[in-house]
Amino acid sequence: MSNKNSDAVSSELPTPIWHPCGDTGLLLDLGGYKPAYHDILCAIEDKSVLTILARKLASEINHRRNAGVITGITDIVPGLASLLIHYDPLTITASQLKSVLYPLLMMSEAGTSQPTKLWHLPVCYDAEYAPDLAEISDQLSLSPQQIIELHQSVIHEVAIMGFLPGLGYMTGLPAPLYLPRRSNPRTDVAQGSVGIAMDQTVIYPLDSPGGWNLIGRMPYMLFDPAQDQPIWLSAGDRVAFSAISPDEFDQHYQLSKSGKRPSFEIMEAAE
Amino acid sequence: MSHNISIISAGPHSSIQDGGRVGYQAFGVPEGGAMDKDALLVGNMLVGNPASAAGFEICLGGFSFSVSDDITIALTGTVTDRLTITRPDGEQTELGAGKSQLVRAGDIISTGFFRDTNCAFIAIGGRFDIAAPFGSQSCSANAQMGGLRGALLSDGDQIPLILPDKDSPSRQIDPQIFARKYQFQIVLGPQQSWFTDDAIKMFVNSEWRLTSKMSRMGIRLAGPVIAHRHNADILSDGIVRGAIQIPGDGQPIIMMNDHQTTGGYTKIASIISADLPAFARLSSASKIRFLPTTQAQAEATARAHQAEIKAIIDKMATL
Repeated sequence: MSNKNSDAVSSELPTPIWHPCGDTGLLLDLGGYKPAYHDILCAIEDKSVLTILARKLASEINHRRNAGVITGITDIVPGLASLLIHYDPLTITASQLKSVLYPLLMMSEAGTSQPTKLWHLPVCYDAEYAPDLAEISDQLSLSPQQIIELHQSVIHEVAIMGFLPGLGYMTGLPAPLYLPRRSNPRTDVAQGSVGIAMDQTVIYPLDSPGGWNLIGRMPYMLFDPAQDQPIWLSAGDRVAFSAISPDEFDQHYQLSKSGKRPSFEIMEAAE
Repeated sequence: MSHNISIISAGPHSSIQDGGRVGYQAFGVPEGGAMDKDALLVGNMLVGNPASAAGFEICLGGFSFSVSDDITIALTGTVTDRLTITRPDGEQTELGAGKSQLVRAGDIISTGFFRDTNCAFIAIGGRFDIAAPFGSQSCSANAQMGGLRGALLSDGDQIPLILPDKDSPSRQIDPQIFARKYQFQIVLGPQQSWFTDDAIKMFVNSEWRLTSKMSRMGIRLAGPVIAHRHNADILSDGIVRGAIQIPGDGQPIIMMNDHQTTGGYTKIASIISADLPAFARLSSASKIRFLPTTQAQAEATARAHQAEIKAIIDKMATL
């Protein structure tokens, strides 16, 4: 493959580091393991830039994979400031992969930004759907109404996907809402529940155990195996939350069950 | 006329599994699939199926089913455990591991509880007529996906079956390829630098016991506490099957096929792919050791292991 860009860019970002994951994975660590990262709330700006870079790289590698230029990669999973490349050791070795991907790493900074989706997600923050709101109101010294307003006051970004099909870890939570996960995780969190912890929001795609602080419920199905495209949220998408009443929740919920998705708009890349 | 398999007793942890879902982990979709890939491949070859066709993964045993038609079956993933075949007239025969046999309509096939393995595979000649979300019929119960209703098998389940064009002859391989082992090769990383040198030495030099906390998501080990330099929390990154996660309590968890696709705990090492089938066969309370190797050596071992399996399939005898 072409390596014409291999000497084109000198980056101000940290030098990427490869780590082995057995004989089926290569982890590209874009940040290095800085002491600051021991506190997950530190260096959020850095983390965000490197996470966007990881997604761009994933997309570049996927293009070449789909074009048949790179073989042996079985999956590409962007993480926070990292990228895991799953590979088949019967087809390619880690050492071959590193040399094939090297030119891409060098050109990644110059990669163009893709337009992203901005999803408008309705959330019912009423007490019956928000079992932790009262408790965290004490912890944060904010009224439930202030918490709800702060949560809607910003556009969140899906940093990475994981844990369950369709579950996105969304960053952008306003700092006054930062708090740890529950010390006693729940055994049964309802599908659609909206939880916050650290600097993030998640929505549970399925009924499952979970330790996040539940502040509301979103009526649409993040994972619906009955649909042609069971998952609609992806890393890099933006999300705006807006409060709805329990009656409106029921209406949206009925629509959701008939396969309807929430509304979105296409945002041109900001950079 | 419809053909099906009726589950009489599902046992504690049995599920439909095939080669799994490839390429959807970026959406949080677990890879799933049979934990013992060797048992899946060899089983399917014995019954004349494509390599990754779905069959039954049976953990612990206690499984029995009946068939509506004459079909070819084979038990793999064990050396000495066997299937009992009970004819409608009560006559019983046994079928050892590594052999395929045509069972008759109305026969009841049962496993008992396993002595030799934790997890065996029953290959079924033909294919299940069920949905394949993300290209696989495998059940990932935590993701409520695949199998029947996204769930583990239950007593009374009826699995529709599409019969093969022709019956497959009885075939046989030496089941010694499914022998137990207690030493597993690992590649250190990706987060080995989060541990002190002493902690890594302790991890590599200690004997580890499998606890009873085992599922298709992960298997917890018990042993000395492996200390982190600082703490166990990392920026969430992707996870491979076989990764060895060390959370804050310092006790390892081996990530199995239904592992979460990303996670925020340190991973000290990964079990190499060639050793994962044997790891899936280990029962709780088994004692094991880890042997470090390099990524390049592990890749060579993967190729050698594949060649070994291929040689066994090439030598497969028709009875």
